[in-house]
Amino acid sequence: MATNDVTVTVKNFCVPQELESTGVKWYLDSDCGRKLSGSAVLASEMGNTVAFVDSTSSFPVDLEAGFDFFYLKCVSGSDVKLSLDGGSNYLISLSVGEAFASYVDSSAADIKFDTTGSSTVQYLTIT
Amino acid sequence: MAQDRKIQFATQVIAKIEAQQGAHTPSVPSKSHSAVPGSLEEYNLTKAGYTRSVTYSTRSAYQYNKTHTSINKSLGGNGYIDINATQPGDSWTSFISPQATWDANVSNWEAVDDTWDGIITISSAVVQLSSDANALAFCYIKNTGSNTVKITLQYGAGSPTYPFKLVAGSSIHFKGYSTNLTLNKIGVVRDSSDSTIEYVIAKV
Repeated sequence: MATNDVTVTVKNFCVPQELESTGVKWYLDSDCGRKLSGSAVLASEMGNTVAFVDSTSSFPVDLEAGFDFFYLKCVSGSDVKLSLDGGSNYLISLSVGEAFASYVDSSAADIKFDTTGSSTVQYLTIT
Repeated sequence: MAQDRKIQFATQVIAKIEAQQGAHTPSVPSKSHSAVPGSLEEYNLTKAGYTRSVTYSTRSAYQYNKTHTSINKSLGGNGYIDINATQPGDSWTSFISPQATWDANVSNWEAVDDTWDGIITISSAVVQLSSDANALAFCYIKNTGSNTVKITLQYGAGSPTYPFKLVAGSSIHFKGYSTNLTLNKIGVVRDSSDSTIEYVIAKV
């Protein structure tokens, strides 16, 4: 690894839960039975160009393609919708406080996101 | 049937940059210490003094990772989503509960999407995670194998794109927007070599 290389540690967790029959208490979902998580350190998969926007309320944001890693957080306001085909189809939603992060295919992910009302977001791309 | 279901989820991202610390030698104080300075009436305390010499060797250059200077903090978020209490069959997760009974499972046991350990093999043929056409509420996929897999949100399209990649050990989760994304559009295929995944895919 050369000097100044960028690495990203990305972790995603989820906990499916099920309400027991009397409606009092939530348990780990009995179809799944455990908490789920995965993590990885991305390094050689990415380039070294980092673009971080801590806060913006200007929409839509059309990043287009060419990224190796993408992170987006809906900081406040209305839900944010995310498209991977340049805005033709918005397929993913983020509500306030939620974040999305993934290693993306630089040629296949044509990233564009927009608000469903009025929002503030934070995002990061690495190329 | 479950009374109700929900899923809590979270994401954490820490971006670091490699930095280099050049070779350096810390300042080398050569210190003399008296055990107790001064003197008393009957004798001189400085006679009990001693000299302590502290030396530091030169440290060679080394590299280390520090939080990326253009970010300077860890990133992430969390939330939860209510999902339908009645999910489409047992295959809404790749897992089989250890409490499952034969007659409580409505899927065919010979179906490829039912596994005991929650592990699905991913090879060159795209694996559709669900054939259900309801709107997707939430999807979680983890690469439990050793090789990268790719994810499409356009399963069944003529030329589906694969915008997301999962390296070994990593996972992804996302919520569907409105009714634009349905369960049957999520597919997974290997990048270059076979791998395995576990997943949860839930309808609204």
